[in-house]
Amino acid sequence: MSEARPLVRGVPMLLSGVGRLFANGSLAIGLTMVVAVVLVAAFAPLLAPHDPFFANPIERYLPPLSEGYLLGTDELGRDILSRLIYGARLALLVAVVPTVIALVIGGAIGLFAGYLGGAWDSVVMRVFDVMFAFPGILLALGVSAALGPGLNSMIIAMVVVTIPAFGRIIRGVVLGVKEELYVEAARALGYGNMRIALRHVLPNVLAPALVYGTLQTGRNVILAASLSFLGLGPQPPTPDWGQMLSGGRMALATAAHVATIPGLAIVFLAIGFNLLGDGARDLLDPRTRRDRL
Amino acid sequence: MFTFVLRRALQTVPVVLGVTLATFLLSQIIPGDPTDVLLGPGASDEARERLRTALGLDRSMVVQYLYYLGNLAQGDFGQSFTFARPVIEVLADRMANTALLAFAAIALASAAGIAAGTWAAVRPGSLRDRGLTVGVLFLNSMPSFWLGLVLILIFGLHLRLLPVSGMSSGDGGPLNLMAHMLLPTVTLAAWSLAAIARMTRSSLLEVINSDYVRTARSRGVGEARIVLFHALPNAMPAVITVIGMQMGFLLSGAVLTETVFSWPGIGLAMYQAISTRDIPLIQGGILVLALAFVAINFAVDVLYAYFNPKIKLA
Amino acid sequence: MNAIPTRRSEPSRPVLEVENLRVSYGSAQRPIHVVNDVSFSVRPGEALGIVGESGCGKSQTMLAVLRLLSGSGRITAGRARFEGQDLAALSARQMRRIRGHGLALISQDALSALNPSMRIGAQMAEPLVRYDGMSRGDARKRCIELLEMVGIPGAATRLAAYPHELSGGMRQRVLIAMAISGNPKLLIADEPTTALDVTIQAQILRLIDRLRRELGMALVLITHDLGVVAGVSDTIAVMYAGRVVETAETDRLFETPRHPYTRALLDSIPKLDAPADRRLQPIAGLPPDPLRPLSGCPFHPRCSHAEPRCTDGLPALEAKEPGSGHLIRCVIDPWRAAAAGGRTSGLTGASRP
Repeated sequence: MSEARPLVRGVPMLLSGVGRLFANGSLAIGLTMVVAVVLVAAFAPLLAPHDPFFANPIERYLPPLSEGYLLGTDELGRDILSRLIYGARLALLVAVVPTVIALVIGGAIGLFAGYLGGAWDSVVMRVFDVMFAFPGILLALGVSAALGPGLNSMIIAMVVVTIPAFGRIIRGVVLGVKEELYVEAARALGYGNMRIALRHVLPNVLAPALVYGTLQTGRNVILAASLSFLGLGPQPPTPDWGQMLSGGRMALATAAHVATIPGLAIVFLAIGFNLLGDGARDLLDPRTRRDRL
Repeated sequence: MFTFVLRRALQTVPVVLGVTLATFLLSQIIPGDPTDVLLGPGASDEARERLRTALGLDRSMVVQYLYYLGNLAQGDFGQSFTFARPVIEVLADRMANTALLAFAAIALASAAGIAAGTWAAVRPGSLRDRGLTVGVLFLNSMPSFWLGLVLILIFGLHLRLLPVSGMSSGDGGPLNLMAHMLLPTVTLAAWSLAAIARMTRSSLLEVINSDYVRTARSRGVGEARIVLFHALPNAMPAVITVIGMQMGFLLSGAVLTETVFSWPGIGLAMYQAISTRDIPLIQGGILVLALAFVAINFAVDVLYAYFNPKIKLA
Repeated sequence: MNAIPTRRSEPSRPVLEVENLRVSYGSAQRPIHVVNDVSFSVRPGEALGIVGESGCGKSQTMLAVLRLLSGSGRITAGRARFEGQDLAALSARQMRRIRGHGLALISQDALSALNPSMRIGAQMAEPLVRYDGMSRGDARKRCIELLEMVGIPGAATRLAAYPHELSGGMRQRVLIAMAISGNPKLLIADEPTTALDVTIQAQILRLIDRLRRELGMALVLITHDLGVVAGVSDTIAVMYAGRVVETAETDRLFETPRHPYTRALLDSIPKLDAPADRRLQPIAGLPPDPLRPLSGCPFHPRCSHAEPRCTDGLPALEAKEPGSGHLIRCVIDPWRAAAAGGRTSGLTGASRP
């Protein structure tokens, strides 16, 4: 794969050594943050001091550092720390699962649209154009609302809105690779379309797919939290960060921690995935290195 | 330039049709009996039957879509049962409020983003540059509604400096409106500010190492002029593209921000419609915001051509 | 017209003196030297050619003189003096005044060296109006005059054009006009013809040469092509791997090239009088990686005359015949005898056994 790229020589290459170090730094920090959340999610039953569903009406809105409740309690007197720990499972699920599904579907569409070209390609790209015309989370909001609130419709909505981005990126890579000499050569040798697509194009697509997938996972943390905040996510009493935040809104003046603490958890996970994605991009895709911030 | 504008305008036609098709399809994916949703659960069988015939639900999907298009053309976006009014009236009342917030936010995000990106780019690798990198990472990883709540907590509840809800209080007036706008505008702008700052920085860094900047420097042109008159104009096309894209995020982000600050715009109406499953209102809101986004992108492309003399010739 | 009074310097005093210049990139702990121990001087009106393959440090040397190195690039040793002033010691403000008025630069690729979003007239007039205190009208007149000097027909109408609307040769002329707009004492032309067609190349070279004589400027012409400097420069410095390996007056260098690298460069350019069966000899191999400096003479891996002692240490740049002004950085000096024998042998003959 590396031989397909122009070799960077001389001064720019020397300078990029510094960038690479920084990139590995963000990769390491991002990975640590994400793994931390994964571990918390995996060992939730061991880590959580309380039952995340157990409501204790007498001990509502306890502030953080209260006895027995490290992060206090929420509007129903449930332990916030325990709900946060169990919520990590859902947070990871709604970030990763839609990414993977959208990557597989969008990637497949992009792969074949780019490879087959012609009318197929035009139709797919026009459909993507229309989907891109929907700003941000609006389409997800519509799909989610139409299907009815809940975890499943939220995931479907997130998949629908992220397919075009994956499709476009993969298609772009395919178009580039397609013209490469070795595909020409493979075709001259009489291999079938399918075989060429899988053997030659697929490996080239993996790096950008991995990089963009990780970055999208970071965005999905926010997207899921947003949909959930609007009441379109998992329904109560499921411990979900976005919904915990939304539930705490009412008591912002008296018990600010109920809303702000889950927000911090969301920010933590999103930063983790974003750093991981940035680091992976710098490592795997030197062409974009200069665009990195 | 005129042919360019015309050609670009024609390109939006299929997109607009596609957008209407997509919002139409939203009503098709509602599970169960659509009249349940459209009329609310308490409707009589007779009313349901009438609605089915009126909406053509007994016809094929193509016919239904054409009906939908025809209705839209006549300004009939359906009936909102949350507000017990036609959807178009609800949207029309609130459109200006959303537009006000969105444009204030994009103005803030553009001005602050371009300034911050430039400020960092003139000293690459410096402390301020690293500071911007970290700041952008935080803003990118922060749900806007959470930022809104934190701002409310600090400026509204603790410092008691600013109002945190609605558009006006007391006697109103422009100053009062601006005070009400401040926190929602900052909240809505934050994410876009980060994206614009990042693009300004990277685009400027690329331009500032270009040969023509070196030419200008070799003729004794000062650094301030280099940045403002040579580098920035050539970095602008990429920045303008990002600003155009950000308008989309702002229009959709309005749903969250308006909800947090009870700002009486389209987004708040849509939030209220979610809990009652008022699909016609959600459909109408999405349609209006998406069409606004298409129109803005059109304007951005025209601006882009204006900044880039090479395109004008094409 | 000119904010800086044109002081007439003594004829013997060099406009530009570069002494043991070293240019480095990277951190202070692990610097990478791209230019090493380079010295030369250019007297008023004189033309110096700096020749070498791309990456040999010739452009970096002149960018260092202009203090226009990018990124972490900086001067780490030696000195560059313009009319006796140490350029590194000047304030940013003083340096800006010297750029354009004292030293001017013509870049290689005129398309990327002109601002794509500014009209020709606006770019040309900018320093005239901003820093030389000209009125817009005067600046416009001056720009037209300059464009006519560089041979652009219909100069007045070109002022409103954008760079992409001009041909490649035209753009290069505009760039030259911009460079001479401040009446510089020294013109630095960095591969001014590389991006152009062969026929245009000759025109542009003649133009630069003519302007130099008419305006009494000194010239440093940077190129990878010895053929380009042949008719223009008074002296030539050949650079390899960041160092000068041979320097002499142009005639002498062409008659008796002494460094194997110079010979190899000469063999790689086409000659009209060469026999038809003579093949051009590209230089085998690649220049050394600045990250991994070689011990000894940096050219030895590619040199057909290399001996084991070539790796012993860096050869000094020295005159093999005292007082000749012909300096060679080679311990072998394979053509010493030929040079001593009255410089009768022609170039092609000398290079063939």
